[in-house]
Amino acid sequence: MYFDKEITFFKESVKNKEEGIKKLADEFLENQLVKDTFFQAVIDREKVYPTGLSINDIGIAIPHTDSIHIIRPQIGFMSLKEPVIFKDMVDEKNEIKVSAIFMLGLLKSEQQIDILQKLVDLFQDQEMLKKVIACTNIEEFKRIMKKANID
Amino acid sequence: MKRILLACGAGVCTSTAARVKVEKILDANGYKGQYKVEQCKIAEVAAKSGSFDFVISTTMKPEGVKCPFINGICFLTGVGVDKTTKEILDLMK
Repeated sequence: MYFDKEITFFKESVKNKEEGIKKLADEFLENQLVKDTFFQAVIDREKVYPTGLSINDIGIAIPHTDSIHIIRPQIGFMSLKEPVIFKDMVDEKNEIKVSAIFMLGLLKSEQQIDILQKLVDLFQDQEMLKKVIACTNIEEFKRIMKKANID
Repeated sequence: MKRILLACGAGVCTSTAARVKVEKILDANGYKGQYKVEQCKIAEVAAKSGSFDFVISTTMKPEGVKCPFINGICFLTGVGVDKTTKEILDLMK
């Protein structure tokens, strides 16, 4: 259900993180998953509380914002042709070269605990994460997500 | 009853992920039922910290925190969990 709108971009070329976030946010808006305040809220939040994370030398980002901007929960994915810079969640002076963006449109609820847990487990599985970043089409992506019990 | 504050940027995503791991650790170490966890945004931590025994956050430490602060990023990255676990268990004593 979190990927049912299939908002995925593979090996996308973007100039910077704002462009990556915009492409994903536009899809979310077009699919009526979020309010029109969503994009700016994600950008604003990213400035103050960055979402870049380096796990096992793989850079990922999990941009998201307050759940008041969300209408229907969804996760969007974008793998990058060339890494894009995000600031580090734990040290904003540190820059992370991000290879994959997971845009999280989640609500504040008990139901989200499960999906978040599975996402974190995926991030920590270096082999699986590499596969996700390397995949080039939605079918492959869905297969990997199914294997990770994320759907 | 220890009161633990779990924080992250929006109070929704990474704090929830960290919470699951933290609760597992506490229960596994015999603290089941001896703690209360609340989640909040990092912007609310300074104001709330006076009423909690410690804060675990996945972001940087904010200004004005009035209780012990633990960085919980290891629960997302999987790196450094043992060290952070020890810090948490020490504060539970």
